[in-house]
Amino acid sequence: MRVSKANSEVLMKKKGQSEIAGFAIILVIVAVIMLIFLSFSLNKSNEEFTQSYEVDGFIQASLEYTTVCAQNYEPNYLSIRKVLVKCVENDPCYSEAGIGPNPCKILNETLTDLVKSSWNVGEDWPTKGYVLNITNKGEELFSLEEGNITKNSKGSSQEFEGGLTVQFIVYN
Amino acid sequence: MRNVNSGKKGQVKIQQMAFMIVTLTIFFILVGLFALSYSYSGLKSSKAALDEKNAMLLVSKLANSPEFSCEGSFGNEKVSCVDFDKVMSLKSSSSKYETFWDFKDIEIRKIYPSTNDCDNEKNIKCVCTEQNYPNCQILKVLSGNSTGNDVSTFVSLCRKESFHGTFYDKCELAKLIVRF
Repeated sequence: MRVSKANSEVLMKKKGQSEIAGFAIILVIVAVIMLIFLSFSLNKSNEEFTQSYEVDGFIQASLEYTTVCAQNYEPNYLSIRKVLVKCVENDPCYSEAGIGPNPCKILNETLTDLVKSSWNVGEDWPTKGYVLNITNKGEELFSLEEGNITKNSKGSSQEFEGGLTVQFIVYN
Repeated sequence: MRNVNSGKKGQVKIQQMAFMIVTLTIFFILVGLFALSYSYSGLKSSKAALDEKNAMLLVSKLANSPEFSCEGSFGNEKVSCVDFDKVMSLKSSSSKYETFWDFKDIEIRKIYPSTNDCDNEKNIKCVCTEQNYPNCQILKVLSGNSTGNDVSTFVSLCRKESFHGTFYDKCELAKLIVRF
């Protein structure tokens, strides 16, 4: 059995074509794997934030701020931490005149003023934006958002007994 | 004829192998660079976090020192709580503490509630004195050089406040700023 010259050339070409096709498939597979890895790492950086001691200190100090919401008598004024619990329990603040102010309203006003006074936001400031979220067992209790959300973020999250979570993220 | 054919076939094989080696080398270099940049970015953020932690620890140490901290005066012991009354009395004898702390400047600045007039540091009415205490914004514990690196942390600034003759604990939001 002798293979003719024309036949051997066709066989060689076919072999070469299949090798190139195999190589192309390998390249495509590698490219797809790299793309998946890249998209995974990019998504991860968007979702997570760098733990910040400054933001953590802000949350700690803010929670101790004395509000105008009193318990049982005046001047037994409560801290934001205690007003949060009152808000969850829907227990009104004390008032000599009867039913006192709504703790959730006081919480909303006080926290908004506190955050706005502490973090200057804008193009001319190092902080470009922030998001403050307070949830109770996953249900939103208070939310405040200002400025732009960027990829560079730092934040802190604190959890309390009963499922209360305070999360504050600052975008630079 | 046969020798020429097999020689050409060999050349093609060598070309293929060279091409594969070059491609694989480029591929591994790319993967290496990618992995390196990924790990380096993590390193940078952890360095920034460590620097921030060190600075914060320095100020937190001061805030929680017996001269500044609330200790048990305002209910449970609180972290990063500064006793405004105690620091105000400390201010009067701050000259004794000049060499005690390794800082040029220690300042407590009330953040909330605040008045817009006090954005300007030169406003003399904003600086705490025995006459305007506690209705002031800036308490200068140590006033040294105005140049240097600033490190600050948020603290709750607590004091005893009077309401119709009854005293209660009032905590406000402030920043403890040190310069070294």
